Amino acid sequence: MVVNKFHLSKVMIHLIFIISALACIVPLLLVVSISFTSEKSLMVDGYHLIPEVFDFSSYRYVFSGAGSITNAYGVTIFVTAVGTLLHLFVTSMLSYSLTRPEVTFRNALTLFVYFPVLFNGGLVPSYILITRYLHLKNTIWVLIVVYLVSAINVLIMKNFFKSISNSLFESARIDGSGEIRTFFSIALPLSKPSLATIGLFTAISYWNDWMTTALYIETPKLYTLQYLLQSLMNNIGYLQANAAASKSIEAAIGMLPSEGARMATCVLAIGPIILLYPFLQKYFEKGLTIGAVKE
Amino acid sequence: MRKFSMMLINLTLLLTMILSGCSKATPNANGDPTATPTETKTPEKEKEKLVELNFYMMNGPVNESDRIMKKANEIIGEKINAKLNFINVDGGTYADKMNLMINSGDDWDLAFTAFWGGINFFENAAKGAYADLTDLLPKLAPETYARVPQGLWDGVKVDGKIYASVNYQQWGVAKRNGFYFREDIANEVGFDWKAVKGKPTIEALQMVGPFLGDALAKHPDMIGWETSSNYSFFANEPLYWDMEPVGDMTTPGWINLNTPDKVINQFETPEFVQYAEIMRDWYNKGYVRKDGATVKDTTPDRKAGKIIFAAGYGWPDSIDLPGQEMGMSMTEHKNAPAVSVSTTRTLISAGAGSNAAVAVNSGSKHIEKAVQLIELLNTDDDLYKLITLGEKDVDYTFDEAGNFTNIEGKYNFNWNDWQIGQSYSPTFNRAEYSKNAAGEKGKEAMSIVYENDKTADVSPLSGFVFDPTPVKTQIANVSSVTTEMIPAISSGSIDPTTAVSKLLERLKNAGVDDIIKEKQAQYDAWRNK
Repeated sequence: MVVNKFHLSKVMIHLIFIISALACIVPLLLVVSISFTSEKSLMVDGYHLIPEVFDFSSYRYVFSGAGSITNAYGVTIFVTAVGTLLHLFVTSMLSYSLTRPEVTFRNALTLFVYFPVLFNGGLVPSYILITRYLHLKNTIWVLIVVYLVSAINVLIMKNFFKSISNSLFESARIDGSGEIRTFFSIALPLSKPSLATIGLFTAISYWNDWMTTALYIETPKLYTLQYLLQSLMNNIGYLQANAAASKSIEAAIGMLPSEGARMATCVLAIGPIILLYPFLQKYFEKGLTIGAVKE
Repeated sequence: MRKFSMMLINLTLLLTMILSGCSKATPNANGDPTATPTETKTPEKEKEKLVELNFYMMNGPVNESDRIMKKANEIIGEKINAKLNFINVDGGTYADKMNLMINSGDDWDLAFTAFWGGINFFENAAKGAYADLTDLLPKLAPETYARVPQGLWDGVKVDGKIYASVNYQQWGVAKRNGFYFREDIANEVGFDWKAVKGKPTIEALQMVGPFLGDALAKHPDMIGWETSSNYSFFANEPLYWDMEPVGDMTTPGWINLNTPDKVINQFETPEFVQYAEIMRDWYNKGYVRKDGATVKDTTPDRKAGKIIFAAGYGWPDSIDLPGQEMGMSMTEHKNAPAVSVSTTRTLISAGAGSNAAVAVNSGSKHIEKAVQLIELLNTDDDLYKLITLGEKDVDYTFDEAGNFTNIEGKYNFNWNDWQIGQSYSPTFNRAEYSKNAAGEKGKEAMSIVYENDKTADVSPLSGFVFDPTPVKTQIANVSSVTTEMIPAISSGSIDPTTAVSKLLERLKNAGVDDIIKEKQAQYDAWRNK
């Protein structure tokens, strides 16, 4: 009886998880399938998990619409990799020093980090700063530098460093380790879970960022993947919305694929970043409890 | 501790140096330098130095643009000693980006501008963002200035000064709307579509009703008439009702073109009630989609060729110029053959001038060069075709039947030619027509359009700009009412006998009368000026 009941509840739990897992996976598979279905078949047969008429024209459109899509992949991967590393580097150094009792004015410094979260200049001043004073417009660095420090991540890291016993750092000092060495060989290895969590969030936000490109990048060679794909899709959407503005557009609209291309863009956009999850999974559990317990 | 903080400072400094060092190197490395402040800071050398002009426009990614722009710049460099850079900004962010650049005083030379889509031509012109071209255009761009009808120049004036060069297009600016019918189905059912020509809209709809019934009986999987939540055949199409919007189209306050002195609430007119009743009738009979009040994207229906009867830019129609081989919207003639009749008057609407124009930055160091470039783009046909179409036999070709076809994956301006200049020229050689009967028909249609442009009615509102600030709250309240109720009424989903009076009552409560009064006051003040 007991065993049976236990068994039933287990079945139920499994069932619930299977259903919720399916709810996540099926739409994704559908997107992949639609992207491989021919536009005409989409209109006539509707959506299917296995394409009725197999066809690559959506991908052909996306790739032909921009010969530079591979280049855009390169830019995005570079920005994501370098950006995430630098972000982790800067954030961890900043939050580490903000937790060290030896740093004078660390509370004032903390205020400097959090103040802009509540009060900031807004778009126009930051645009002026970046274009006129930092001269970062139209350089690849603008894509990285703008997001180097995030106050929230500093907060998370700070709480994590606080949870490491101070005696560890003291004993390191007694053994003759300098501040830099203590940071790199004691603090950083201990904070792997938090680095992984923040790294994943940062990587995703670098990967998905298109607004910075829209504002500051004007050379097609520096377009990021998301901007390029967004631009391709908008091109279709804008042509359809503004057909009144131009008669020459009208003829063109019928020729553009839309549903399939939209899904193909989706598949390309989530592409490599989805691979990050399995690698970072093991750190996740630890990462989620960051700052939850204090000693 | 001191050692540590020193280390930190050193590191920060090092990092900044690395970053700034690289930032300077990058623009040179990618071989496409744009006009940075350092390059333009040499006014004494400007005379002999090639002037770089940055032209911002809405455009998606353009393939192989380096090749075409190199060729184009050879022509531009030789003629006016300038180099043109197109900076393509994604359509969704264009308005934001341009306004940001204007507000922050960033460097740009020319830009596409318009009154719609948040680009705010009038606001920016009044703010002084655009250079005053009143004297420069006749002097430096005489051809451009002469080709555009004077009424359109009035459409880009603010306080009597011209702030943009109008992109006058070969399909004309005057609008005459009409209807499209599926040719094969009209013939099958035996409907005399020609009789609809010139009829007032209500009468036309009443004539078409029975035809839709017959057609749908034979083709039950098709759709008689398109309805959607973001487009209302009444609220978005003033010309069909012989009206013209004062200011923004979707807010109440239009004028009737037959009594142009008085601003009216378009939803109080008998036409609106009649229209709503017809739509209700069609809804009940199943001529329109049942989910018309909520569906946003109807392009799948169009692409699938399901629509039998549609509104559209209908002229020269199939009676004036037979054999145009038209298709229904978003389809081709061979899949969904269409015939059209025009029903409305021919009107140059108030927004026609500022519908598409090119503005020059008032802060640009090369305003005169920019105007010269406008003239060159508008008058040099080869240059214009090179930029908008690419090279013949490389980027486009004519197939065996003589049809103009783009070569896939090659240079393609995404049909955004209307943003950079005039496609009109007296000889109609600024576009490639198919080298067959259809192409000849196209040319003929264009010349009919152009002739009619000269005799078209000009909207009494041309040159009038409505300033919505005094009634901002009311407009917000009213638009929340209209966005809620208009789609339901327009698609026939609710019974108009109660819905229309409810709409009017809610509009009154939201302050529609204040808007009408304000529009009337500004309109009167403008006319008496």
